[in-house]
Amino acid sequence: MSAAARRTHLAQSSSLFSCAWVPSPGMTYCPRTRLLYCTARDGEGMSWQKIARETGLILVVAALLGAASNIFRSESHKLAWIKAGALATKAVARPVPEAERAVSTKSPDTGALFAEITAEEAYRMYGSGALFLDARRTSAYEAGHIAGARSVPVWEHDAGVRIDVLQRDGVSLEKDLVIYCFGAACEDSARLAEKLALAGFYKLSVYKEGFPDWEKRGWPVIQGAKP
Amino acid sequence: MRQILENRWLSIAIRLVLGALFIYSAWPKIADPPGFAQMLSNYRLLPDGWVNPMALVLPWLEMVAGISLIAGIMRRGAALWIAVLLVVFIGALSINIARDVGVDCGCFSVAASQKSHAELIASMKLDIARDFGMLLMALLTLFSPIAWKKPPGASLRGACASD
Repeated sequence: MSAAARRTHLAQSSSLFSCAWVPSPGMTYCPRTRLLYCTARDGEGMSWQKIARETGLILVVAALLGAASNIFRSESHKLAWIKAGALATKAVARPVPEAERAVSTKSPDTGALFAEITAEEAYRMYGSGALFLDARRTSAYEAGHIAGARSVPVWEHDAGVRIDVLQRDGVSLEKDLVIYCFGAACEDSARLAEKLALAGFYKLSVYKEGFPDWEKRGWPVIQGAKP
Repeated sequence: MRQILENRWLSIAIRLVLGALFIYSAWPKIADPPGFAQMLSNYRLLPDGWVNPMALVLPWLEMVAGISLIAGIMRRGAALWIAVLLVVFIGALSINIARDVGVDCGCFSVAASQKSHAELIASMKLDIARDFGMLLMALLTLFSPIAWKKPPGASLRGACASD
């Protein structure tokens, strides 16, 4: 029987489903006739080569979809391509005079980028006019934040832009900044502190216990998108 | 055993379940890439520059592979991807258990849980067990004899070669 004849035979067999199962996309086997029919183009058998091609294609499709979805997404769900805010924040780190640094840095001996402060210290700085920065996601910020705190969601793509806006709004590099996220387990504050340090701010404090602690103590909290 | 492995309906069922699980797990990550990027960085395994590209592509990889499995299009490639991903997930969880770092799995949700350290470690172990189960399903799909074996007596020659 020629290949064409076999194909015809297969097409004519009344119950294709009961007769045949498909060992690979290009072939159909019929146990009754013990024959393997070619139902597709030549050379479509299953092999590791073919699997490799498939994995490559799946990766390309996934990468394209990932990129496309990121382009058409709302602001608060967009992701910076490489690193949150890395492209937007130009490293304008200016050398801080040694004398000034010694006075300003709260942990001069450790040389850390930022000082970790307790709730009481945070509250004291709140009273003395330090600027609070909320590193959490936009949705968390809108659900409730420390009154007066500005939103710089460190994981969203425009974190760098918001830091630039901070400077444009006249927040000087010497300003005391207190950064917080949602508690001791989150590292968003440290991440944001790093970015702020890159931008040239150097009086950085991280309120480690963060928003849940502040809220629990009954200190000023407001909701909405405004500081 | 062979009989079970060659059961067509079983292999279809496995494919559908595995595909559905991957689509289900991909969805929240696709919906919130910054949240997933945060999860990824919590694992402390990737260099900083890799976190965001991975957070964009990985969920779609799960989604496309899941859809492929269910639709039966490129299902070997999809099964291979899923197996590779599961091995990576198991590795990532194991490393963090080994160094006693509790992380949210980020498997089926990207919301940060408020679990304690001990709870996190315990649920990571469960996640690993579940991943092994899914890995078995992926390998069954990948190596299912239904797609690989030439049935005894079946002749390939003349069927596909001479057209």
